[in-house]
Formats: sequence, structure tokens, C-alpha cells
Amino acid sequence: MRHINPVYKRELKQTARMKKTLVMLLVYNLLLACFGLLVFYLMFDRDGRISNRVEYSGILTLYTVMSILEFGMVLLIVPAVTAGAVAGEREKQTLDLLLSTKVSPLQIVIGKLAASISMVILLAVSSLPVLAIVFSIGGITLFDMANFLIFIIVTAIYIGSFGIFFSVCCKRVTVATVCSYSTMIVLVILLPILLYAVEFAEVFRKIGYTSFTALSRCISGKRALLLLFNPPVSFISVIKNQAGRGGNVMASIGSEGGVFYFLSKHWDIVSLLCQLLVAIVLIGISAHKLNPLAKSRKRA
Amino acid sequence: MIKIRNLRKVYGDIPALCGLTMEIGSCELFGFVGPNGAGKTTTMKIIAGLLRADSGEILIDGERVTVHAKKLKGEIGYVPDFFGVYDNLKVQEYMEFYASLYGMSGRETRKRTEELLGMLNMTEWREEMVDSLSRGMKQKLCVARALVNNPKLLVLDEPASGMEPKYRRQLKELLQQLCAEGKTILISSHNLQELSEMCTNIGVIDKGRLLMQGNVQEILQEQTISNPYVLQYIRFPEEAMALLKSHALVKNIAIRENSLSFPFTGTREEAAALLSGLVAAGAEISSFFREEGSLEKLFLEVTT
Ligand SMILES: Nc1ncnc2c1ncn2[C@@H]1O[C@H](COP(=O)(O)OP(=O)(O)OP(=O)(O)O)[C@@H](O)[C@H]1O
Ligand SMILES: [Mg+2]
Repeated sequence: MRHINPVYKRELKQTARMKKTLVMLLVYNLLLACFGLLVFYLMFDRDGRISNRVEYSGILTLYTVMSILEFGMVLLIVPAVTAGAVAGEREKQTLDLLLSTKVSPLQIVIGKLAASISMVILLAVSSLPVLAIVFSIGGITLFDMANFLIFIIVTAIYIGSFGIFFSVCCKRVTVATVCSYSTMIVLVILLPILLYAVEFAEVFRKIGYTSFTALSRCISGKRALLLLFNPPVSFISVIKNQAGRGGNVMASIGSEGGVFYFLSKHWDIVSLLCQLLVAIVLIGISAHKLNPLAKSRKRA
Repeated sequence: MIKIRNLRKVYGDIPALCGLTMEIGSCELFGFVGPNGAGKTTTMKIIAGLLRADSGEILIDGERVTVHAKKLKGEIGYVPDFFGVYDNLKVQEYMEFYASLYGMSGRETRKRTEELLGMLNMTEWREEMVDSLSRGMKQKLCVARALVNNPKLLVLDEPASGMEPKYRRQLKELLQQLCAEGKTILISSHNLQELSEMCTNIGVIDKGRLLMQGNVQEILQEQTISNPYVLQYIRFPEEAMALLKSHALVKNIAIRENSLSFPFTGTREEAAALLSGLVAAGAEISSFFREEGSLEKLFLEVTT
């Protein structure tokens, strides 16, 4: 126990005592459970009565939708939790006390990030019983689940590192929160939209018109590499390997050939590694910025 | 112990420190005074490694704070002027948390926590939530916290503001005891009476520069000697006045209603002889004393 990051340990203790944590756990699991029951009802009771046939592939839909919920939860919760991490200490005037001790800025940053991610893992793990519905029927293995958990953790680290970065840079929690949600939205939603828009414009310039068939062409060329930093595409690539859903995106990226073919096969791993790299760089910068004695590149 | 050399710090356009040079010896209880905005908090933050000076250097035991920050932070206890506490944390856990930041083991931590809470009479609060404590209690807790790593140097920024008289006395006694045990203490305060009672040395700064520093006893003595004697009387006949005026060591007698004051350059024995002379001449004197030197007076003199 002694070598556990002390900042992390304290955060966990506080989180465990907050009513908010309990409420969040309850609401989240209730949502998941209701949804699971609904699908069960639709699959076995209604479908069984109407057509005398149970469509077992429905369970994959159930798994996919539950994964989406979990993924969405990470995108929604992590920016808020991490944005408050350091800026919150600054606002509460506990940061100077922390920095006056022997603990290093890097330890503070890592402890904070780990605490935020633990929150997500707690939610994910607490929902395991509900997810077990999926296992009761089969189609998804434990290995798949472990894979998915790793994906969720990496996504949380990736999104969280932006939150921590803004938390270190901004004086106020509100500003940091706005910044980290904005970044999340840019990465998750605006980036693909922008790439699509560029694609559209290009097609339009070439052939003078554009149509919805262009939509299915997806993003081409080197630009598609930017999608490595887009969590939803990573999500799709992970789920595709497991539930067979979302193949289109991967296929159209793969159709570019060469490196892209390789990428479309291993998109999940490559994109997670890329995102981890970004996170590591951001954590490094954050730790540097948090160090009051670091030389700042200010005008002399 | 601490050598501050030509320290400069500018916030935007506001100069906070303009070449502060100061020295604090080992085992000194050093009072740091100055008007609001003089640069005390800034100096203390730089010593505690929470702020980078624009130029100049601070050596603690010959080591620069910017270079050996991590090691030195383990030897400094810092109490900031304003600070907050965490929610959902008990006093005991609060202490344990800060101990763990110094890499102390569980057993060591528990022992130290118990010792410190006992020292500050806070043992019965150990199960209280820190955010439910009153301001003065939090300040006491913060002093205990600053001692958790058994630092050689304590840097306290107005630790007693907001404390009730009983706590202030406890704190004063604690600091004197710690100083006697060999710790060096740097304390800033606006309560000069209190500082003059406990400090061994004092430094006055204003506008980011040191105005004066020295041993408190010596400074006070010097001041006392230059202070005039005040004599309050019920009856002061002409004979007594004539005696006083003709005395070689008495000059410039200021006469007020029922009291006189005059600078007196003689020793205590000579003052006693003068007093019995005046009584013999028929004066009825209710009090006869020399005003004690006070830091407050000194402060007002040097900072204007
Ligand atoms: N964060 C800051 N940003 C801008 N200016 C600051 C900042 N902190 C201090 N200053 C300025 O630096 C100068 C010195 O401030 P400092 O807090 O060191 O004074 P002080 O001696 O502690 O005063 P007090 O007795 O009121 O606590 C002041 O002029 C103040 O306005
Ligand atoms: Mg101050």
C-alpha cells in the first residue's frame, strides 16, 4: 500500500465518501438494466410470440448498444472530472500546500488522472452483472470484454489527458471544463465532419456535383490518418472485430490500399497506441507546467 | 541557514521584490514584518519553492532552492497565508495524506500524527471532518501539517491571523519551543507586540527591499534608551522643578497636565537618585518610568 501514489489514494477516499458517486452508480446501472430488460423483452417475449422465432443476433445489438452507452459515458464524464482535478485544487487553495511538499508535479498529474479513470472503471465494472446478460446467451467472449475494457481505459486516458492539461493551464474550473469539453467535441465530432466536408468539396470540384453516394466513399488519402485520433472510429474498429458491426468505415479506409490496408486491419491497436502517445505527451507538458520552478518561456 | 541575495520578482508590471538581500541564521525565530504589499508573501513563496524569482538567489544551507528543490522541500514546512482543506477527509487522514506525500511509512506517520495533534491539543478532533473545522482550528491544523515531515526550517505566513488569544499563545509557546529544539523559523505577522515577545531576530521590508534587520532584544534596548522618562505627579512644587531643570542629565522637559517627560541620558542608578531627590523636594509622584521600546514604533519610523 505504501507505494501507491498518495494523491490517487486520497482522491479515491474522497470519491468513495461522496454521495454523488453513489447516485451516479445507481443511475447508470439502472439505465443499463432497464435497457437490457427491454431488449430481452423484445427478443424473447414479443418476437417469440409474433414469429415463433428468436433472433439471437439481437444479443449482438444489445452488446453493441451497451458498449455505446459505456463509451458515451466516458466521453461525457471524463472531461468534467479531469478538468476539475488541478484547477479545483487551485480554486480550493490546496494546490500550494501540495506543491510545497516533496511530491512531484508528475506524480500529482498521474494521481489525478488515475483517480478520474478509476471512476470510469468503477462504473464499467459495476455494470458487469448487467452485461452478463450478454454472456448468458453467448456470442461475446470474456476476451472480447477484456479488449473492450482496455479500449475504454485508453479512451479515458486520452480524453482525460486533455482535461488534465486544461486543468493545469486554466485558473478556473469552469474555464477548464469548457475547454476540455470543446476539445472532446472537436476530436469526436468536428474532426470527422470536417474531413467529410473537405472530401465533399474535393469531389464537387472534380466532377462538378456531389451526391449521397460520395458519403459512402468515406475519407480518403492521408487525411484519413487523422482519424487515428478520433475515438469513435477506434470504437467502431474495436466493435467491428467483436460484433461485426460498423465494417463500412474500416472497409473504405482499407480500400486505399498499402499502408491503409494494414491500418484497416489493425486500426484498433494503432489508433489506441497513437492516442496513448498523445496522452503521454500531454501528461508530460502538464507536469512541466505545474512545476512552479520550471523556467517559463516568457519575454525577459 | 538562509541567504537571500538580490532577489527580484515582478508580477506583470508590478514590482514585488526589488533586490531583497537578507540573511537568517540557524535556530533563529525570525520575524518578518512590513506594510501590506511589501513582498513578504512573495519572498516566502520563493523560499518554499512555489514561485520562481526573476533574478537573484536563495541559498538554504548553501544549496540553491531552484536547483535542489525536491530535497529542500523535504526539509521545509510551509504555512501559506491563505489555504483550503479537502472535503470528505478526517483530521487524522488529512495529516496522514501529507505525511505520505513525504514518503513516510504508515507506522511512522501514525506516530508523528499522534505526537503533533497532542502537541497542539487537537487530539479530540482527530475524527472530525477537516472542512467542518473553524478557521482558527484549520490554521492550527495547517501548522501541525507543516511539521509532519519534521522540517529544519518552518516558513509561516501570518499563521496567527484569525486565531483566538488562547491559540495564539499556544502557537507562540510552540514556536519558541521548536526554536529552542534547533529549528529555524521564519514568521510574518502584523502583530508586532506578539513578534517582539517571541522572536529572536527581526527584518523589516518595504517595497521589496530590506529596511533593517537585527536582534530583537538589542533593537528594543536601543529604542528604550532613546525614549524619554515619563513622570506623573499629584503635586510638583517649584523646588522640585528647579531641581529637575538644574540636573545635568536632563534636557528639554515637556510639561503636560499632571505629567512631565524628558530625555534622560543617565543610568538606572542615576535615575533612582534623581527620583529620591525630587521626592525630598516635596514632589508627590505617582509614577516614574521610561517608555519601553516597541517594534510598532520602530516599524512606523522606518517604513515612512
Ligand atoms: N499573484 C499576483 N499577481 C500580481 N501581483 C501580485 C501577486 N501577488 C502579489 N502581487 C503584488 O506583489 C506585491 C507584494 O505582495 P505580497 O503578497 O508579497 O505582499 P505582503 O508583504 O505579503 O503583503 P500583506 O502584508 O498584505 O500580506 C504587491 O504589490 C502585490 O500587489
Ligand atoms: Mg502576505
